Amino acid sequence: MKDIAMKALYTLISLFVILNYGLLLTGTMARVRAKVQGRIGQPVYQPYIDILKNNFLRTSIYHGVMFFLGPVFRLAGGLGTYLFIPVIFGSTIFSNFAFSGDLLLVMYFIFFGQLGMALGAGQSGHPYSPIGVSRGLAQMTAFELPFALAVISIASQYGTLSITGIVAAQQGGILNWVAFTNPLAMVAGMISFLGMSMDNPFSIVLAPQEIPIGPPTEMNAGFLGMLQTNRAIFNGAKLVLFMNLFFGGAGNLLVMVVKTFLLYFYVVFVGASFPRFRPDQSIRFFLGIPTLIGIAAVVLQMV
Amino acid sequence: MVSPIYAIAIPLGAAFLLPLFEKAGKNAAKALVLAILAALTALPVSWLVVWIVNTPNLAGLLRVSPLAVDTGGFPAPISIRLAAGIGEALVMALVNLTAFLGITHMLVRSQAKPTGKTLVLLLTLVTGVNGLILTRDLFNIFVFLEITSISTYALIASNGSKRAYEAGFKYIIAGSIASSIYLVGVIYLYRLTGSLSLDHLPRSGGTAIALMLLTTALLLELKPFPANGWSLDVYQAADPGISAMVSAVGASGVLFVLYKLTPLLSPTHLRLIAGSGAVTFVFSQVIALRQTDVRRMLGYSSTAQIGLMLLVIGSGRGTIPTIVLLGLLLGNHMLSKAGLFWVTDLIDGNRTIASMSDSGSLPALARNKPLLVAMIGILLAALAGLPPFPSFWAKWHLVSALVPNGRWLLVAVVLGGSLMEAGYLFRWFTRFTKASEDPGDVHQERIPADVPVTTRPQTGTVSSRSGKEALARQAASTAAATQATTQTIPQVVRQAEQPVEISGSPVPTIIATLVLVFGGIAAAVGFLAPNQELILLVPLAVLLIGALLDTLRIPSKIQLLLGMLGIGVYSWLLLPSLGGIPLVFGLLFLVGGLLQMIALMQRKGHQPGLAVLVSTLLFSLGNLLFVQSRLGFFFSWELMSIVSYLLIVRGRAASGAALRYLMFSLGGAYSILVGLVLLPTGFAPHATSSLWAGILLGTGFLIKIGTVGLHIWLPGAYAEAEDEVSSLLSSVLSKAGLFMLFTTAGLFIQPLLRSVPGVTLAYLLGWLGALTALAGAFLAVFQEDIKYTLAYSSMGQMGYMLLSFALMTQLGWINSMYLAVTHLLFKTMLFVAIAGVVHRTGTRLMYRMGGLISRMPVSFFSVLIGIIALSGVPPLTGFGAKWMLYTALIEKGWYLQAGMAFFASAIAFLYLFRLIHTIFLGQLKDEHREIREAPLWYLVPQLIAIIGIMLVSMFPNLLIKPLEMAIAGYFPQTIAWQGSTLVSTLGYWNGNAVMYVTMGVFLVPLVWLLATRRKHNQKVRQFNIVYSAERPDRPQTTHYAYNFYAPYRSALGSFLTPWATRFWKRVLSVVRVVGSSTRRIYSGDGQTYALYVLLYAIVLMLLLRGGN
Amino acid sequence: MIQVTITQAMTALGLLLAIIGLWGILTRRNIIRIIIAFTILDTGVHLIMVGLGYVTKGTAPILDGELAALGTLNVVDPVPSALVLTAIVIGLAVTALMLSYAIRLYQTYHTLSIDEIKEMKW
Repeated sequence: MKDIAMKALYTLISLFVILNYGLLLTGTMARVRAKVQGRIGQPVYQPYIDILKNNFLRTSIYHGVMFFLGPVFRLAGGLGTYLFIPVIFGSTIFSNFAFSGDLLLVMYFIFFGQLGMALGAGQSGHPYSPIGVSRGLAQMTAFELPFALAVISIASQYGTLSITGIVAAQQGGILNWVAFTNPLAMVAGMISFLGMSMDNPFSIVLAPQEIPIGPPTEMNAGFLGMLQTNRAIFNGAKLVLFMNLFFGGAGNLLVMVVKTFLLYFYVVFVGASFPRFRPDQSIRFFLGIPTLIGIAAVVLQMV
Repeated sequence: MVSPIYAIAIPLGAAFLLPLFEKAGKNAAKALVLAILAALTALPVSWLVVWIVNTPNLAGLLRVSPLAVDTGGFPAPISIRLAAGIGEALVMALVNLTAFLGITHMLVRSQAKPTGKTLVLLLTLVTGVNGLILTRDLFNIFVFLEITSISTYALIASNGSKRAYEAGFKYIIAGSIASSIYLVGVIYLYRLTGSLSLDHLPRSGGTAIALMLLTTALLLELKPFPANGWSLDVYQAADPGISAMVSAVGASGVLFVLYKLTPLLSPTHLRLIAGSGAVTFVFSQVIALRQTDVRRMLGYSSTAQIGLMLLVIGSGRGTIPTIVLLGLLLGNHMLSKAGLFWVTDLIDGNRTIASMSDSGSLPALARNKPLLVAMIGILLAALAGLPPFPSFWAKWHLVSALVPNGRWLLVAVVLGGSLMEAGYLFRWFTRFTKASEDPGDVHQERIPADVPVTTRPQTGTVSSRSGKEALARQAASTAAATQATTQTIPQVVRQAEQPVEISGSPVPTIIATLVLVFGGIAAAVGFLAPNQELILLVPLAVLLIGALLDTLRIPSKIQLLLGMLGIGVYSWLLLPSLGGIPLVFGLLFLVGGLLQMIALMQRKGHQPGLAVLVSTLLFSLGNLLFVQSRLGFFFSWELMSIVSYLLIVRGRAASGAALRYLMFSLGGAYSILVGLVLLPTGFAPHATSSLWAGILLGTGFLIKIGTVGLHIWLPGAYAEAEDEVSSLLSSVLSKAGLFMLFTTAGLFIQPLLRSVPGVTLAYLLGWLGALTALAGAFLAVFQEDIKYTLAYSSMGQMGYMLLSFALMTQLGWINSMYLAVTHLLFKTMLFVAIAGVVHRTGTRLMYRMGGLISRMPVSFFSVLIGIIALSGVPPLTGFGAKWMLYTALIEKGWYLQAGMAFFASAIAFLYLFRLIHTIFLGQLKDEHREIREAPLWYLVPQLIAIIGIMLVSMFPNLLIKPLEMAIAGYFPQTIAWQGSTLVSTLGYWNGNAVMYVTMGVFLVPLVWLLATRRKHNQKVRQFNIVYSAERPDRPQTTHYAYNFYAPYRSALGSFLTPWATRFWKRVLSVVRVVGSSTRRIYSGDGQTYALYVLLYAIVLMLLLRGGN
Repeated sequence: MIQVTITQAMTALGLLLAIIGLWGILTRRNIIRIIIAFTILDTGVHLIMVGLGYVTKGTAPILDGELAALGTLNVVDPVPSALVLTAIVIGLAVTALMLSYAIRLYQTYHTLSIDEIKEMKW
């Protein structure tokens, strides 16, 4: 009983940290982007304001049960993904529920929220939702391929699929990181990461400027707030995952913050520098060079 | 015993006396003829009975001393000897029975009844054939040959048609050249040996050319390719009753003469006979593929069958005596071919359907006379050599005699030809079974025309004013359409409902069919009894009982209940005796099958064939679980294939797809047949068996699984079968191939090359599995037809099972079976839920649906669970499969395959989301506003499957631990259990914990939303959105569904080319071109045919020279 | 000088007739001529049979004193003659049948040219 209570407490702490960190990171990066574009930009705490405002809006509409459940699925997906990843190497508080499964579990749990969200958005009946979903899913299948190859390469390199195991294997100096021991896998994985983050040049899925496209089209009030909460947590989870896989994990919160900040900065940097792909272009891009790099990483492990 | 001489004397005498009897009255003459034929049938039967009673076993029966009569009181060399041994008796009985039935048929048909003259000729023909069978004197053979021929020439002309005269004259020219050659041969032989008695001719020395002349003449009488143009004209033009006699009776006599001659012949002669037979067999089949006239097609089939029997005669001794083989083939051919000729006679009173392309009246026939069509099916199946008919057993023994002698070319000829024969015969059959809107030859998956939507009462609530307008518009257009159709429909109906009169009594044909059926069953008992495998005949018994119930028009519900009861009892008795892998698949086949049958209970009234076929299919799957002998296995496998074909062909537009299924199934079965013969004994894995056995068996099983490249039968068959049947095919039947792979796994682990030990057949299977998974997923993404999507999805899932199986590790095998079990559950949910949707909406096109979640919530939930379980998203069962798959693949070092499998599973998301979105989400269509939830009988199996999926998801060890036990001992242990955590060498997975965490993280936001969104949260109506700067008013413009993944299509470009389909089409067109160009040699010119006859003789003589 | 026995001459003549008959069957277009060619072929075959079966300077196969004196070797074998007789009868029947076919064909096709009688092919 005491174990369970302690675990619950740890979980809450872990979630609290990642939520705040995620929101702050989003705010910061929005500001960074604004600076690049020569604007002043929003305050760093803007995401907090958005979430609070959305959650306390008095009225809202919904299109049906599945619409109602969509954001629930989405947030559950984000939370679950995060909770199945050990965040800080060697820490009990931040080990989360990593004992439930290994890297494969995390990779597949990412789909949980996406699928549920897509279904919820689908019930709204707004064509933009399925258009965005169709583009997003199509792009997802493409960038998952190099990522999967990178993961397979790492798993064969270290002989384990446990995230803790992979992090443990990278301890003892920068040169032990996958980024240096298996650079091809790192490159393939990091290109996939760009697609996963849906920033430029792979942002057609959301197309935030021209048309309000994608799953959030019809989402409003608390539903939207839930999505924004998820975005912070899910973003954090993804960053932590890539940090664990390719950059040696983190021994304490500070290292984690630095590494994930840099990882996110890399996405924003690329996003600010490149124009956008059409969906078919981005699919062809991921199935081209990054996949070949991934295959090379795998083949190198075989010989 | 009665002397054989009466077999000749009585009909001959009667033939001359018949005109006298006619004076006494027409009926007296007819009665006399029938009585004589009955007596002639009874005579050899009486000999057979005496022999069988007196001898204990088959070997003794074959050594029984023949019944001999020397005419004129002199001993044999001086007089003519007639002798009847077991072979003679057998063939005589068959010939006379067929003749009896044939003459009866002609007497009882409604027009063109035979006149007294015709009866005389028929009796002479029978005399001639009996003489041919009995006589032991070469010159006497000539006389009987001429008696047979002359009566045939005259009979052909009997129907007085222009074409018959033409055909008869061509026949006479060819026949007279052949008899000249025979005469020269006889006299030459006499000159050399001084004897004409078969019993006294020397067995060797210097007589090769003379014997070759005789052989050539006999071969020419047997219509060898290419010197047989005249015979086809005869089959096409003559009265079908006469054609039946020519094909069944006349040819049998000549064939038997050739068989009698074999002891004298040298191996070279025999080789030439076999070669001639093989060439005839294969080319006749190829040309038959191109025929449009049914009788000419049957003619080609006749020459082909005789070619096959020549091959049997020429290829010498096999595992069973040639005469038994010949008897099986001959009896099968005579009864089925004659039966089919009679059928064309019966259904073609006004000569409208002799052409295959004229299909107008055939479906009506199927509706009005289902029993007749069933009979046609039986005759065709017998002719095509399907179990349990006699030629099926003959084919098995023929191939098992040819393979060990390394006569691969003949094996290829026999099996390839049989495949083509089944192709054109069943193509004709589908003309009967297909509905009038069925396009027939489907060689490209296409978006089918929709079921005409029955105009439903369109009252009730419509969401908006403009929605009502839309409805009004639609109602107007429907009304217009209805008006249009009422104008056209009567014509269609009139065309379809052309009165199909059966001209005459089908009784003789029915008797022939029954003799075939019982002959087949007797053969089955005879061949299966030595291995104590009579229990394999249970499916046949079920089929017979079911056919009886169907004839009595018992409602399908009752039949299904009986079937389920039977299967329940069968499982109860059978399953406890099984263990390990067979037990797993036994549960899968039988319990899974029961689950499928629940959905069928939805059918109302009497559905001919449905319940009986489903039950038979499940029982024949049951056979696979415990069968031991190779023959028993092959029998069960083919039975399963044919039954599933019949089940598929019931679909509304399934004829083309079903035919394709049959062709691939039979091709696979033949591959299995050769593979089985290559195995030393039994069919369990052997360490010593050859690589080829593995390749051939593997190919056969892969066809059943639908591996990429061999899959092109799959989408059509799954999609076009009836909706509940698709579920059965996909969730239960497709596992049969997998089960056999498990059973014969030992064959696949030897290295292909000694130098590369890693590359085994299993390694290739692994790549094939990964490719299948990927191809299936990609093909599923771009379908508009929901059933095609699910069909390709099944194919992809089978790919995963194959890949896991091919790993040959503990985790791989567990996963393969885990997938098989869960696939059964979630595919049942998906297929049955979709069956409900199709049932309610009347369309299979996804873009015509939408928003059905509000009308069919239970189906939606079922599909939702189904796609989550399929896609591998935690916490449901699919993730377990993915986890085990990747773990096992990486452990094995198959990294690239793992990458490919991962890609395939990502692609699967695309079609799964599309499926659930376009059907259940988005905009509800006006015409679907009033539809109800799927019928209860559809929901029950779905709910059972959902419970199963949920249980396994919550407690994965409920399934994984038994599977681990089932394969205990095969492989080194690589997994371990820590509580409910499954630990591999690479990672770990705790399904239980995942479930709890998921429930936790799901409940928290849900509770939050429910709490905060309780007030002022308004549910809006369908069109309350803004799209394209307006509020949409009709679903058609707003439902994003058609060509859902357009960007993906353009991104992939030519990668999506259907290579396999293209390849198989190319194969088909090559065969067709060969057929078309080969048949050009039949110019129709009697003199050209005569030239062929002459050239054929010369070539054979030259070959004899070359052979010596 | 090559000695040609009567049997050899007969066989050669028969062979020649048979070849002429075959040639006729294959080249003549008129059905009646084809039938005539067939009878020539038939006659040729019969001659061959007689030729192969005949024993030069042999006696008739009658069981009498001469047979006893000469021995069975010098008896003309009766079997070929019997065969030829049968074959002639059969040939006659076939010829008759062919002729009646010719009549029927002429009645239906209004021609006797075999070129024009090829409605069925392939």
